[in-house]
Order: sequence, then C-alpha cells, then structure tokens
Amino acid sequence: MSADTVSRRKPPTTFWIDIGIIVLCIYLYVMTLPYPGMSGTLPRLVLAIVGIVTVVDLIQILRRKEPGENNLGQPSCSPPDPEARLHYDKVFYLAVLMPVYYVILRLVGIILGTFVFVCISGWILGYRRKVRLLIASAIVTAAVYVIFVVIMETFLPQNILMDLIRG
Amino acid sequence: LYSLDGWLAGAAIVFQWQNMAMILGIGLLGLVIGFLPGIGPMTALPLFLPITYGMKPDAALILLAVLYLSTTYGGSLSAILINTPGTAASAATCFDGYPMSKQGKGGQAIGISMMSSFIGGFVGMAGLIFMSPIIAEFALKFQPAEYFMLAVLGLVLIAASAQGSVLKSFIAGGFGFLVSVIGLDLMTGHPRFAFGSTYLKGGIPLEPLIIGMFALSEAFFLVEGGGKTISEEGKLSGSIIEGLKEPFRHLTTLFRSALIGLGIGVIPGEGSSVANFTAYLTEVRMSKKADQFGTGVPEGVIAPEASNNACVFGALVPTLTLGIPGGGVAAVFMGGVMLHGLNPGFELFSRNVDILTTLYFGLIVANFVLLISGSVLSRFAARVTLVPINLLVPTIVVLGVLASFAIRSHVLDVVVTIVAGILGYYMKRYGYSTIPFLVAFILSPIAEKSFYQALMLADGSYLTFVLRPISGVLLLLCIMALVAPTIKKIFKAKTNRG
Repeated sequence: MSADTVSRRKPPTTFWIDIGIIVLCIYLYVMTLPYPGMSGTLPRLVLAIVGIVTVVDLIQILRRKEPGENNLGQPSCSPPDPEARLHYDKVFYLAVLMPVYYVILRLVGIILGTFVFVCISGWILGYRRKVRLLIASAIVTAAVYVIFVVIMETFLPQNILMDLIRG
Repeated sequence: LYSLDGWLAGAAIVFQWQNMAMILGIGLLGLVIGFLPGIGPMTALPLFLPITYGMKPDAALILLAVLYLSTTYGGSLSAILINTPGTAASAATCFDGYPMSKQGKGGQAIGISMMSSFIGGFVGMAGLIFMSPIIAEFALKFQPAEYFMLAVLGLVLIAASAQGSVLKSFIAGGFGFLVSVIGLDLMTGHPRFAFGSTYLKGGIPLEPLIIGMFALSEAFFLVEGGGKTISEEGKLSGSIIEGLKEPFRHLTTLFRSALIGLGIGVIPGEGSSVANFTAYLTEVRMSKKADQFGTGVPEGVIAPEASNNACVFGALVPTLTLGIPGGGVAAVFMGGVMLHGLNPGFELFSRNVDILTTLYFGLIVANFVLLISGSVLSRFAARVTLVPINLLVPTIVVLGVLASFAIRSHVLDVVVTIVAGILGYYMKRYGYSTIPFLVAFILSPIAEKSFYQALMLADGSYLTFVLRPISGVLLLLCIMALVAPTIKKIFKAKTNRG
C-alpha cells in the first residue's frame, strides 16, 4: 500500500485509541520516575512493553491492505448500521441509569428504590407491558430483599429520605 | 493415616439428618449465591464464618467446604445462561457455555457443566485424600522465582491464546497489571497511581472490578444487541440429561482439565480463577478444532468446569497439610479451621484424623447432592434466558450494584463497578479482550511480590529466574508459548505454498 493511499484514508477509531494509549503510557511512565526503591521497577517495565506493543499495533493498523480489512477482530470495523446506532442510544441510557440507581437507592431505600429503578429502566429500554413490568419489578425487589437483607444480612445504603422524614 | 473405622465413623456423622439437611440446604443456597454475578465463595464464606461458631468442628468445616463447592457450581450457571460468571472461577465457562445457550442448548451446557464439575470434584477429592502429602511437598519446592515465572507463564498463555488480536490482548494484560498496582506498594509503602485519593491508596478491589467487567459490560451488550430474549430461538432445547452424558465422550479433556485444576489449586496463591482459564486455553491449544472454540463446543465447557471444581479441593491440600492456604477462599476456610481450635498441618493429620475423614465424606456426599439438585434446579434457572432483555438488564444492574456495595459497604466500590462495566464494554467493542486484563489483575500481586523476593534472595541477580531448574523450565515454557504461534504460522504458510 502506498503512502498516498494511507494519507487519503481516514484513520480508524482504533488508531486514535492506540495513540491515546501511547500518550497515557508516557504520562504514567513519567509519573513513576520519582517512585522510591523498586516501587516503580515493574510498572515501568510493563509500561515500556505496553508502549512498544501499542506502536507495533499502530503500525499494523496503518499497513492494512484494504479499507475493509479487519485486523481488529471486533465489530468496531463493521460498517455503521442505523439499527445498531439506535441501540447504542440505549447503551448510553443504561450507562446513565447505573449511577441513577445508586442515587435512588440512597434516597428511598432498597425496596422502593429497586422497584422504581426496574420500572423506569425497563420502560426506557423498551418494555411497554405496564402490568407485567410492575409484576416483574415487584418480583425482582422481593428477591433482592430476601437475598441481600434476609439471608446475607448485608449492610446496604442508608435511606436518606426516610432519615430526613424521621428527623 | 486413614482407617476403615475412621471412614465409617465419618459416614455415620455425615448421615445424621441434621448434617444431611445442612449439606442440602447450604448446597442449594450456595448454588443461588454462586449464581449471583460477583458474589462467590469469597463473599459467602466470610459471611457464614460467624454462623459456625456454635457448631461442632466437623459440621462447621463441612458447612464451609460445601458452601465453597456449591458457590463454585452456581457460578457456572450464570456464566452459561447470561454470560455473567457468578465468580471468577467460572469466567472461562462463558466462552463456550454462553454461545451454547444462545444456540438454544442452555440445558445441555448446564448438564455438561454439572457432570464435569462432579467428576472434577472427585478427581480433586482423590488428590486431596491420597496425594496430598506428595503434592504439598512438591509445592514446597516453589520459591519466589518459581512463583514469579508461574504468574508470567499464566499471563503469557492467556494473552497469546485470547480471542482476537494477540497484541491487543497483551496491551489489555499490561493495563490489568497497572490497575492492580494502584495503591500502596507493600515493599516501600509508597502510593502508586493513587492521584492523592485515599480510596485509591487502598487499591482497586477485585470483586467490584469483576462485577463491572463481566456483569455490567454484558448488560451493555445485551441492550446494544437489541434481541428480545437471550436465547436466539426464544426457547430452550437440548436436554440436561444429554449434557450429563456429554463429558464421557471427552474423557481426555475431562481428566486432563481436572488434573490441571488440581495441580493449580495445590500451588498457593493460584486459584480457581487461574485454573479455569489455564484448562480452557490448554484445551484450545491441544484441540484439533481450536478454531471452533468460542462458538459453543462442549469441550469449552468441560475444561473450565472440571478444572475449577478440582481446584477447590486442590486448594485445600496445602491448607490442611501445611497450613498454607491455596488461595483467598482457602485462607478463609483455614480461618474456620483455626476458629475451632484445630491447627492445620501435622497436628491435624495426627490428632484430628476423625474430623478430616468426616469432612472428606461430607464433601463426597455434597458432590452427589449438588449434581442432583443442581441438575434439577438448573431447569428453572435456565428459564432466565427466556426473560425479556429489557427486564433482564435492569435486574443485572440491580444485582451488580448491590453486590458491589454489599462486599465492603463502600460507595466508591459501586463507582469502580460502573467504570469497569463501561471500560469492559468499550474494551470488548474495540477488540481488547477483558480476560487478559482480569488475569493480569489477579496474578500481578503474586508476580510483583515474588519478583522482589526472588531478587532479594539472589542478591539482585536476575539470573535466578533462569538458573533455578523449575523457574528455568517455566521460562522456557513462556518463550515457547510466545514463539509457537509464529512458528505454526510459518509452517502453515510453507505447507500451503508447497
């Protein structure tokens, strides 16, 4: 493949990931330099190896023969699919919902928090049968309560809202 | 050491209705606990330790051992059904167990898992009973240089054999190491990559990381995939009975993997999490249909399942004979042994043989009970694959978040889980396998500690890793593992040209 072809082709996402990894390796390597004694020996060695391997990977990406050729082995190089994009939105929603669950849990406690979270997230993720959603939420809540509170006697997040009401 | 009278006395105690009820109850409970993503023996055993206070030593040890065994069994069910290993010991089961489940062979995969675990358990049991003094003696020969090389070999094998790009697997493994060194250096007490955070100075905990990388990242993929249920056919086919028969068609795989698990379990520090990967990858390397692994082949379930259960027993060998725990869970188990005034080692084998034979007999019975109850219970557990994905995903999130919090009741553990989930999702999406990352994370503390100790013992000479016989052999195996794929490729190219 000529250099011209390389320059005209837009680098894939993995190219930028590798660049990011190399920059990160350099940053972390510099960070380990003041470490006393042998604290930094193995981390530096590993960072150097990771850096070198990433450079080799980068070269492989640049030397790919055809634009569609896959040396990544993952769906990232498959052509964009509008349907997949739609689901990718749900991935984003889920990433947001995860910390939201913890916040709800802190506010209203495990029973109400879990029930509300399963209802909301099930709805956002596309489940539209209201009665079944409510039943499923109740089952999940009951199961979680029995396992974590009754059987395992786990210390779970405190119910801030209830504490505030109680004063 | 063991007499017929001792075994009969042990049997009499085990067959008391209270002990039988306990084996059944704890066995079923362990299956359920093991099924929950991220909650395995490491969480369950410490929680149950206080319950054993008022019990007789033999009953207490049976309870802890059955819980250890059953949580390992249970971890495999979720690995097969929802691609979420209940424990790290079942992580490799996902590779072929989950594809089988997606093909509508969930029942068959569970049957394979149950029977492989059962036989693996018996191989491990045989090792524990008959070979423990010999194996423990060999493990004693391992010095820091050997432990370091063993950890490196584990990493190299896993990175070289991981699915997708080998280079990316090494990069992932490297970062697994770097994440594991976050926190105070045990040798100097100096914080590394902590960025001034008190939480990070304590290090990144393993369990929240596992829950995130395996459970939550899978939740992302389930949502992204957009299917209605996990099972592509929408129903389960392939009977558990058929699955129970399958391991007998692959006896070499079955026994080879069980022996690998036993061997790894015996080496202190190495555990089921390493055993299941090593057995799986050994099978990939030795199989004629290596390219089919990862698509749902029975051998891909047999290998990790036989090894992780054999490993459970293997880990008890140095724990009971030498007082050196074979792993984290074995260390908790040892705490239970000492809690009841028993001293592991020569004293246990000379003065308390009756307790040991009762424990062994209890484990034999538990293995049978778990095979039967597991096979029956799994039929209901298999229904999980028919649950709509948009209801299953919130359930996984709920379990993941609560499980990560429950371990240490620390809010930042939940943050670690969520970050690990997002990281795991993007790693897999861009071809960086999460397996080498996790294995490196598990092995690096052993590797680093052994590295420094070996250098100190050798007055700073790196030649110690080459000149010590066992270490030298392990180094040679590392080089072979690295070079073999390239040589294989060259030979293949030559053959094709020829």
